[in-house]
Amino acid sequence: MKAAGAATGGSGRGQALDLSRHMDKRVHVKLVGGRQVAGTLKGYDQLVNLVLDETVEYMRDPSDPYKESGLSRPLGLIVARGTSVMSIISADGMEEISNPFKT
Amino acid sequence: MLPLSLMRAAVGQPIMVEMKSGETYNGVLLAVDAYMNMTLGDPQLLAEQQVATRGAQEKSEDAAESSKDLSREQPGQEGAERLSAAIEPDRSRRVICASKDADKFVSAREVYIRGNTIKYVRMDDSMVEVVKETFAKQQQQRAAANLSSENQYGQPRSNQPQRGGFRGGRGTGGWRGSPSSRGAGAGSGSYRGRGGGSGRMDAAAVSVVPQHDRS
Repeated sequence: MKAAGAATGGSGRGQALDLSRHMDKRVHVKLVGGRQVAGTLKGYDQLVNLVLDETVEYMRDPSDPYKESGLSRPLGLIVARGTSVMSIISADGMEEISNPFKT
Repeated sequence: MLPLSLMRAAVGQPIMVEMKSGETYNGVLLAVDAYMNMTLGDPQLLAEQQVATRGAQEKSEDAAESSKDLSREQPGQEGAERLSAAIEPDRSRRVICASKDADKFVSAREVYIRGNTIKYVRMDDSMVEVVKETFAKQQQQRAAANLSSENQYGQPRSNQPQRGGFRGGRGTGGWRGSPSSRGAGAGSGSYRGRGGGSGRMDAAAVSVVPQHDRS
C-alpha cells in the first residue's frame, strides 16, 4: 500500500479514503472508546494516524460515556493514533438534525 | 461469494453500517478497501472521482468508453434517488450518523469509517444478484480466454490482471484439492510458480489449469 496511491482516491484496491482532499480543513474524528474531537487536519499517513491542529474535544457526561455534556476542552496540536480512529467526518456541511427515520 | 466482493458490488449503493459501539451510518458507499475501511458520501463525488481518475490514468481513452463506465454507475444513483424520494429530498447526497440510542442525528457530506470498528453492514438484497451476475460474466470471460489461447500460456497470463476483481477462485478452488488437478497443476509448473506471489492469485491460476486441460 502506497501512501501516494491514496491521492487518486479509487475504490476496490488501495485506500478507501482520499484524505488529501481534507488537508487543512476541519474534521470531526470519533475515537475508539467514545471520545470525539474536532481539528484541522495537518497531516496523515497510510495507517490513518492523524495530525490535528487547534483540536477541541467534546466532553461527555461522566456518568454516561455515550452522552455529550455540551462542554468542550481545547487540546491544541495532537496526533491521533490510527488504530484508535473510528470514523472521520468532514466538518464542512456537518449539522445536527432531527430524527429523519421517524415515520 | 466473498464479503468483500459483495461490498465492492455495493459501491454506489445506499448502505447502512453499524459500528461496534452501536452508532449507525446511513449513506451511499463511495469506496471500500481490503480492510473494509470505507467512505460514505455524496454519489456525485463518486462520479467526479471516477472521471478524474480515468482522465489522469488514461488520457488517450476515448469519450465513448468513459461514458459507458459512467452509465454503469447509473443503477447506484437511481437506487439512492429512489431511497431519497421515499423519505427526504436531499437524503441521497448525505450521510446520516445516528448515535447508539438513536437520540442524536448528525448529517454530513462525507464520512470515512475504519473497517476494524464495524459490527455489520446492511445493503439492498439486489446486491446478491449483482455479485452473481458479475461472477457468471467473469466465468464466461475466463472460458472464452481459455478457448482462445489453446496452446499459448502467455495469453491467460496477460488476462490475469484484467480479472483482478475476480474473487471466485474459491468456488472452483476444490480443484486444488482433487488429485487430478494436482497432477494438472504440476504439469504446468510455470503457473504455480508465478501465482505463488499471492495466495489468492494462486487459487485463481490453479483453477484455470484443469479447465484448460479439460477443454
